[in-house]
Amino acid sequence: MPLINIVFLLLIFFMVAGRLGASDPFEVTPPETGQAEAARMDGVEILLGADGALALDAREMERAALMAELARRLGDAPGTRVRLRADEGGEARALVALMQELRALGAREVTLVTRPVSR
Amino acid sequence: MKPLSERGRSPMRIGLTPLIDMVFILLVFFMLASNFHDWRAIPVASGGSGAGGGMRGALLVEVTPRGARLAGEALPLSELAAKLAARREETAGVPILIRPRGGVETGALVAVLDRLTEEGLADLTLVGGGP
Repeated sequence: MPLINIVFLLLIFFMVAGRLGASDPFEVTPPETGQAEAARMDGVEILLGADGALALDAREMERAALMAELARRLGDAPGTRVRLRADEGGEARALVALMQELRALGAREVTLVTRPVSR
Repeated sequence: MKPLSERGRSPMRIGLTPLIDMVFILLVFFMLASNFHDWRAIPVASGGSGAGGGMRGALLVEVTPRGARLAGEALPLSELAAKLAARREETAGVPILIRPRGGVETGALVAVLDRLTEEGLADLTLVGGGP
């Protein structure tokens, strides 16, 4: 049955090539860059929406709760990488202020997630 | 009792149809649940608000809604990158502070970071504060 063979192949392709993960609680479109290297997907991810909404690892939460949770995680594992995915339409100063707060909490490696330029 | 060679061909064989159903369900699950985003990352440093004493001699680039300002002089993005690249010898090791003004979108700030990285300028630090 060739149909079943194809379905099996598709199944294996999606299992191997795709990455399972929780979907974002709100829409975030990161800015485009041409120079950046591929992001490492370990560590924690913080989402910053265009309207200032915050989420930690795909869970939307208030600023104070997020900072407390992040401080707890950084206390458990001090070298934790922090990945920041900010919407390109958001206020840049809010992003810088958030990064300074992260730095004050002790996050040493903060990276900004971008998407490659679509040509 | 049937002979051994015929037992395997009893009518109670596992059907192929439920297996195919399961494979279809798994296929649909993985198609919906997996994502194929190609995320990139730029490492960024962030300093305190405003330039402190330890940042003496640092170059301050302000990103404004209409372009960029280097040492108070308004420049378009392409000229800013060329100017900083031309001064790279004398400013080697000097941190470049990047400060977005109010009303600047994240996309514009990252475009400046990207352009300066493209020129080979390292040691970029984001700072807050200012107007």
